[in-house]
Amino acid sequence: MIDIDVRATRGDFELSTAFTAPSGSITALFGASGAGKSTLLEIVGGALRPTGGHVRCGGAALTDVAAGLFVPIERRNIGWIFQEGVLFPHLDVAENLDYGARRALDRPSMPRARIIDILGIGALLRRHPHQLSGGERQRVAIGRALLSRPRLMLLDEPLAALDAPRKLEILTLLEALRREFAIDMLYVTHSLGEVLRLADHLVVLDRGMTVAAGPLDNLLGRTDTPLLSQRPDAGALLNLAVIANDGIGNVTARIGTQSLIISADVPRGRSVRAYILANEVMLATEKPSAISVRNVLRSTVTRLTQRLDGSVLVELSLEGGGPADRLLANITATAAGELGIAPGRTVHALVKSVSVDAPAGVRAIETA
Amino acid sequence: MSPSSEWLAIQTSVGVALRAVAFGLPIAVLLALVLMRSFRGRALVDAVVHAPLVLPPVVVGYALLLMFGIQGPFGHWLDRWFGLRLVFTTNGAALAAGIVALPVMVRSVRLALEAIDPQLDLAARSLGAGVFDRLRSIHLPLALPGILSAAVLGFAMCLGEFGAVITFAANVPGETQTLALAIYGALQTPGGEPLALRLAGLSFAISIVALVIGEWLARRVHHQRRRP
Repeated sequence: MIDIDVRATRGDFELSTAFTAPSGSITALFGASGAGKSTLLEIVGGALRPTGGHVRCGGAALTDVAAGLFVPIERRNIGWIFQEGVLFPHLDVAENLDYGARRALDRPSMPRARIIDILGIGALLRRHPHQLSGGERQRVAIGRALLSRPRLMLLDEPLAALDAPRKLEILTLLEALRREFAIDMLYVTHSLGEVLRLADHLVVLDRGMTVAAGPLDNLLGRTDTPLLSQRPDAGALLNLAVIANDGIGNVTARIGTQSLIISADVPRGRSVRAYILANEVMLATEKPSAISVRNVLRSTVTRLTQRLDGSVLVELSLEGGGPADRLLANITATAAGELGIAPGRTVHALVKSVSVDAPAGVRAIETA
Repeated sequence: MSPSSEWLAIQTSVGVALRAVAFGLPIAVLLALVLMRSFRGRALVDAVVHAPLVLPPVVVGYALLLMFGIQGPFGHWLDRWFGLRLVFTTNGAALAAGIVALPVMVRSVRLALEAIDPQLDLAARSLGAGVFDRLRSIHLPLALPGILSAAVLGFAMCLGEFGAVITFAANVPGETQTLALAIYGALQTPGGEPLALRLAGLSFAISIVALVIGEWLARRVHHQRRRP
């Protein structure tokens, strides 16, 4: 459990944010550059003293300005991952890995061999940092932080310095590690893709303020957070249960009383996260027939949001679904006017089924 | 001057320089560490440490004479409590040479310390290393090439220091007469030029050997870090 409520000033930048995140979760700190994400990370890590408020982690207070409490960095027991794996250049990989572990002997140790195995760095142990690639350095840095048995991991845009294949590699590793070790993570990023892939909790920062905070699926379909709704890749996140796999690359997933066909190969009974871009959803006021789109979901319009580019973002509640089962559709203002799209109106949402790897459309991410 | 007095000058020079570096280097490292932090009066400490760089060495020697002479405040105290006299002794020559070489050594160590990525310090802290732990495990090892070059530079400077040594410790053969002083003495003596030339050659040779050893040590450190 992370409980943060802090205020801080740095030059003329002011940060004022408060949120909590449950134990065992990955919380994404999301926002544009200069939103205060890294400043917040420094406060949690103990590199910056806030002017007010508190930072609590797993029941222990790390900073409490009112009580005059400020635990120094070296006693915080926090695993800090930087943009570029910051390894000690005079130590080899094994010595780097053990640096934190040797200083954490009072805590139960982590399974070293298992971590080295997951990270795939067993062959690198005797190498020095300058002999490693960027991705390898970041893997060693993650291993070093994990082996110090942190109560919390801080990841400051850990993929920023890596190319696309390496990004995917580290993301996959982080997923594997969180599944196995359930360590709380605060993950700073401005990539929605990374948020969708990893996070289960989201904190959206804008100019030093929290504009939204909560479970990921609750937040993404909401249109009242401009930072999310104004993005070209705005969309909604659905948690779906796979009820059928046709064996040729399509699965049928249940959502409330309706179902959705997604190009993905996930076994029956698993659940998937599907992110559906608002630009990939069309609206029809009557049930369309004889069309190629196979996913037609009956829904009710709950809210309209004017976007800065003149289009309208329509928030839809899926018929027979729960409160979190939302869709977003991006349509032109003219279309919205001509079709009479207004809150309360029942519409048919047409969702194109696109493959998992496709750059746009429905992206399915296996979660369990 | 007989060949043995040449040998004497070499022994004195090396003895003075080694003593000066042995005592001066730890102080230089300490000062470099202190000067990297910000505190009230930092500029004053910085100025005092660097003063010998811009003062004429004779002035440094005279200042030492005032402070560490038998009548001086520190000299009196050292003599009374430890029976230690610095004036006209090898230790005194080492002190004078060391003070002149100190700013160069401090600078070399400081440059090496400042070149260390601050994120390494943050990473070490987050992994539970306290201030002295980080000094031992991160800062000193990473600054080692700079510390070695400070030692070599300091040693070479102490070998050649003239003004401060002759003012504070005088020109006593076998005690404070280093190579530089011996060369000066030989040149003052009629017919001493061949001796001066030999001493100058020896001085040159020792300096080159010191620089080569220093370079070799620095390479070894570098190589250890880059071994395959």
